[in-house]
Amino acid sequence: MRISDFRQYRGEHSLSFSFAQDKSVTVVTGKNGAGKTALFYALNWVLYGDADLHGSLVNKGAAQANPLSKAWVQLEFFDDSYEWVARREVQRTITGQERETSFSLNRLDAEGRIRQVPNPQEAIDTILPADARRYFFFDGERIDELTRPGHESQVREAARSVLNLKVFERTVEHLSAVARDYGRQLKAAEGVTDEQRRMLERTEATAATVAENEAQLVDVRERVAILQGKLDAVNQQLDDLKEIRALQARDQALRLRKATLSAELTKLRANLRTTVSRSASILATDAIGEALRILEAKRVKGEIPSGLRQQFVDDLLRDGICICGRHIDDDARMELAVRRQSAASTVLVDRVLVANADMTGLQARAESAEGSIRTLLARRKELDDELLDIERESEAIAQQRGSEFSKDVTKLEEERRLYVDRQRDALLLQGRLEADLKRDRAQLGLLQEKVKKVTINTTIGAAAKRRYELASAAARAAYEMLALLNTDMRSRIQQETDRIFKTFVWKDRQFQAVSLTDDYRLEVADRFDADGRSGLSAGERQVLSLSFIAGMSKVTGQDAPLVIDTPFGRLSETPVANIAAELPTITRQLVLFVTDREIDDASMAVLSRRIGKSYVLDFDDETGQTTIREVAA
Amino acid sequence: MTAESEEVTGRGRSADDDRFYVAFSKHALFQAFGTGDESPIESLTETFVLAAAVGWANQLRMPLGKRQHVGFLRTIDAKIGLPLLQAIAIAETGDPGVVADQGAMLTIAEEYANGGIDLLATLDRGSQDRTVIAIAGMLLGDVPMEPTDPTVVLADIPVDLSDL
Repeated sequence: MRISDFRQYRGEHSLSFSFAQDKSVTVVTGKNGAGKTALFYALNWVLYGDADLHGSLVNKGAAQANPLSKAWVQLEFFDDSYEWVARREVQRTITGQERETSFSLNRLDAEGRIRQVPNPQEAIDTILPADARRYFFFDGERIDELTRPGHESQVREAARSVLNLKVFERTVEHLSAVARDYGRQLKAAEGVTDEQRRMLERTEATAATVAENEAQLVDVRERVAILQGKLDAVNQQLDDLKEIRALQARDQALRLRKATLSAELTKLRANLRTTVSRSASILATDAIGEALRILEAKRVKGEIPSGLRQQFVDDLLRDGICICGRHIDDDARMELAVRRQSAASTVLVDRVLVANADMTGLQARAESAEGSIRTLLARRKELDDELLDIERESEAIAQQRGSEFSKDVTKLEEERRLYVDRQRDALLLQGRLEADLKRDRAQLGLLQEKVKKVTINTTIGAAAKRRYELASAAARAAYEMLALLNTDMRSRIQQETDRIFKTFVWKDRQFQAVSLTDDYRLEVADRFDADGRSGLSAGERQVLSLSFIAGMSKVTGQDAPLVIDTPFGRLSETPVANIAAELPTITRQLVLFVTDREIDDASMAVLSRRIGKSYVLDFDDETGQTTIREVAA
Repeated sequence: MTAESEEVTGRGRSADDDRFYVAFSKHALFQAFGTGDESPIESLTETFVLAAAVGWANQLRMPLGKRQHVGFLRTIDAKIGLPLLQAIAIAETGDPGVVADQGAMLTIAEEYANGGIDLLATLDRGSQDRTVIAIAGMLLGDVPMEPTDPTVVLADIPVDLSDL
């Protein structure tokens, strides 16, 4: 491919694509914004005229230097033993708009003659139809849309384009139209009796009904598939909501528990504060012990009378009679009183006795306080831990729920019912049409057989009859061939897609099988035999789409190269390695536009065995231009 | 409470003196620990008793110097605080008679509290909750739990006294 003044490519640049059998891979590497996508779209543009790019195609530097500057892209390629050169050019106008000025397609035949193809776009469409090329030239990061639920019609269109089924469909339509036309001619031919004419009219009417029903059946099938896609989407939303509801209930329970624990924590904090404030005795148990020891020692020595002894003396003094029975006279009374006072003053004794009792009590309190504090702290830890767990779980729930939980379940359920009803109606109609078609085709066959047996005595009539029979037989044969081809191709694509998908993915035990239904729904059965497609990640869908395209390419033997922009963007190492190993074997030529970080060293080492050409795009920040540099493969 | 700043050195103290004092320079510390709903200890009186116990446990007895009157003996809990101060006084002097001399008993308590309050101050963790936990740890003499709140730091006993 050669380009000139196209997007950030100032001046002329070129790159060639490797197509040797064992070195069929070309890799173009560049940082984000370096110009990979511009090259990718240059390929699309030169062949099909749509670049799908925003902004101008003509390089800005070139436009500044010359307001009427041009940009062009030229592509040389092989197809069907011919060498072709396509070239498209665009020029700026005086008003700054861009206008396509030429598109040419030249063919170099085996004798070396160059012939300009008169209808270049038609020729390109024959080589690779426009609607099929997006399955050979594609953006790796968007290809996952192909297999997202609700995109079945895209899958069907992809298959029809790549398999060229449209050609067959047109053939069937055409032959049917020809048969109808010949039928009309026969009706009007000389020598046809009224009865024969009526039979022909019935045959024509039946054929028309068959054609109409066939067209209607295609529409109805499409409608069923679309409705299924919508149903899948709504069911997914409802499932998400169920989950969200469960999360909400859990969140509510957590809040209540948090409130309870927080209340307990507040009380515990207050309790701990009070206990700590009154637990100074824990630190002075030795002082208490020592003081009690001192007091006891004094008591034993008699320096502090016991309360009982004191009370005994008081009682004797009060009664005035000694225990021996003698009267206590004044001298004796004075002596007793002195002895009582000599030990300690009443106030002191009182205080000491009280202190003694209180200190004994304090010792016990100290032990109890210590136990209480330990219990409170242990419970405090439990509360803290549980509150932290609640906090973490609440955060996780909040993240899972996201910010959008306000979907109306009732509304979604109504939508769902609507889709179910409509789909049921469509399926009923489909069933009816299929039954009618079967009956009408059989009827048509019978009528056509009757027509065969009709003898028309005029030459013109006989000739018209012959033409009609041939055309009817051809239409019928084409129709049956189309049906067979459809079934056969679908089955083979399914097989190849399944095989390739399992080669690519990293959870091959998770996925049982890939299947392609009659209405072109790609289904992935997981190991629980459920449709795993809605549970696929974007990366897995990307791989499934790639597998489907590769499967189609393999089955159809379509020679078109696979050109992929950012093939590995969302994929982790294992599938990248698998794809790097397998993809070059599936297609005859592979062109990859990758970022510098997209493919790990190990996968690159695997791929490099098949790389025939390798380029790096160097973007100059100052000039805003990119150059293409070939590097060792 | 009247502000009173006077040197105690050289002045006697009557046996009936039931006022207790703290060092003037440390008055704010006692208030921080024992005044208001957000303080770690419920009252200034309990702070005083706790500081005395801390001082006793670490044998830190420091004369007050310039002093500040903060309370009366009668406000100290009769079953918890008072017997504790009495026990300290008896253990300190070896004389049970000291319980009759309030002035002497309080002097002992005040001077131990004066030393103990500095240790208590090292347990301040910036919030009531965390400081209470630090004091609890000190009372237990161990680290009772791994802090679940990384900002909670429990008491680090023993305290480095080298700068006192």
